[in-house]
Amino acid sequence: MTFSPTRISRWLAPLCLVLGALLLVSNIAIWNVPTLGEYTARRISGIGVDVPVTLGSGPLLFAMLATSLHLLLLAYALFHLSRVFRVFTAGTWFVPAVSEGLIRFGFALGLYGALSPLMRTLVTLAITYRNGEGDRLLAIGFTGNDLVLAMVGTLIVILGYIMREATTIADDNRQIV
Amino acid sequence: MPIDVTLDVMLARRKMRSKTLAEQIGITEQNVSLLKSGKVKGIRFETLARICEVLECQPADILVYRADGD
Repeated sequence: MTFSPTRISRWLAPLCLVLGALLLVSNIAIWNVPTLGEYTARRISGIGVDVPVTLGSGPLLFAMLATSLHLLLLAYALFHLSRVFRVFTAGTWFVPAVSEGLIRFGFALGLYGALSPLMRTLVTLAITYRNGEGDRLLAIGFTGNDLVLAMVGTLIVILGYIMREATTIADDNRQIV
Repeated sequence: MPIDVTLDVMLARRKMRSKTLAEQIGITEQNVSLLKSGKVKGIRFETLARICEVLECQPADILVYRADGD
């Protein structure tokens, strides 16, 4: 079985859109169920069950907004990735839609990775802000995933600029008989 | 572009149609048409060689440089 970029792109284009939408919808749903919200918040912020958290509609709403804005970046990245796959479906590679799509996808992905620590800090703050004095937490830290996402995003942006150059060269070549 | 393509003149001299030339040199008739009208950015040596072979001419017979650059 041979690898067919057009065939796989035909599947990946709608999948990216569905995934982006699911991420946003499921995130909103999670924060609307307090037990799920607490579980998710503890997972995101990395605090154990021994640390008390005070959840109410305010902290849950704040956490939902912080994570939604963060996930919106990922959904935006997936939206542009879907557009790139859709162009690949047509069997075209060297067109401006691909380079521009890659630049936007890479930028959003890199930003998503770079802003992950801030999102975790905000969620931690939201769920412990109403704790008593001495029990409020402010967590700041990078993970390997954040760095990898930021690096991969930057790499994809660079590849997007390279594709932009390649598109110009391909366009020139088309005008050479 | 200060290079004029005079392929149409050479085709007329050889009493050959664009379609025939396109078939013989292995490019599309549309590309021959673009070449004749000078609406191309360049011509490959390979294509030029085949045109010269088919039309029995030299590159200078189909490409002319204009010093004024108009």
